[in-house]
Amino acid sequence: MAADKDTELIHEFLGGNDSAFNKIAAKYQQKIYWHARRMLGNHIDADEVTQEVLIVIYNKLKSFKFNSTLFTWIYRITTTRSLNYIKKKQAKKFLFFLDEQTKNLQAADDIIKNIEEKEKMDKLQRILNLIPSKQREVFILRNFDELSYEEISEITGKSIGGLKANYFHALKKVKEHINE
Amino acid sequence: MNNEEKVLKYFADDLSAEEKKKFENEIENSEELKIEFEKTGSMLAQLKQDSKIHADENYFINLVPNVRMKMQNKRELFTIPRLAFSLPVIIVFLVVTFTYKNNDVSFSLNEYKEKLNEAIEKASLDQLEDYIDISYNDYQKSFSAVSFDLEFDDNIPISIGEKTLKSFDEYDLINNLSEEEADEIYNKLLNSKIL
Repeated sequence: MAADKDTELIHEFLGGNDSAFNKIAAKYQQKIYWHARRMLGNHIDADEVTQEVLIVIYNKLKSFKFNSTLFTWIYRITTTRSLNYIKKKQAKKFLFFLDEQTKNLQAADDIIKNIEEKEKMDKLQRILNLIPSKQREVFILRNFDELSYEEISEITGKSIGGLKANYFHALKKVKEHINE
Repeated sequence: MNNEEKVLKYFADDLSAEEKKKFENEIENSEELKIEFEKTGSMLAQLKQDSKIHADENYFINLVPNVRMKMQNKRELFTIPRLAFSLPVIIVFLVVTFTYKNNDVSFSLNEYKEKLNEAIEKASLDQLEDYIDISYNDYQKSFSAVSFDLEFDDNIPISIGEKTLKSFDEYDLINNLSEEEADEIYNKLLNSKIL
């Protein structure tokens, strides 16, 4: 049903109705943002990736082949962009070092205003940041985005056996760090 | 496999059907395994609960307009530099192309003249009159062939009468021209606007 609605929206967009993109974005923007946020650990980076993903969706939707569902396609773009962003950021950290000012800026611009919730998010983020990015990706997709291994496999292109192993190791690390 | 690993494998859905059944039976009889199972289950549930955060709605309301503005800015930013960049590229391309072509033509023409002069110097007037009949149009045709071939091969095809000479080494027929004869032929060729 949701896939039918998505197909309808894509056809609307391909038919020249530009506002169909707004509906697609409105439907998926929170999923994109929260996935990026959990992967990257802060609002500024998540915002950058979310905007980048939406721009990619807008530009590439014209050549959408209907080989996968819109949902899978959007998640594929989001996970790829998030992982690439992490790599880029690691390179930047290595070359330039992120200073305290950057950290303060990140805190001030956050869209989580409630202090208690912010603390919870920070705690969760500290744990997630300790997991290698590929394991973190699987953990987030399964645990927070509540996707099946089949769906994750379609998004990431990895085997289900490999994904189970990644999730097992991620879960083990999360448990270790929570108990610390 | 210890209890923790069994539980983690269970939550990772990384057990075969048989192992899963065995685990579920075991959990009924092992208090330790049951505690471990509940501990991991509640940890995961807590993580999920903690991740349900209320964010500033304005951010999501403004997200698409911000993205559209960003796309618009990008378009504007790239249109003028694209034009500014493409014009010099076209100019440079044309200059390089024509300079290269002109050099090539002038090289071909010079070489052609030089070889022809040498050949004419050696040829006999009779032989030349018998064989050389080059109109301006013919020259143009042969010149294109000369320039083309020079790029790939040093051999220069020249038509003299019905014969096509592929190399100036084949100019045996014009070996014995006197200086006067050569000048005459040379002038004839000049008047034909060949050289």
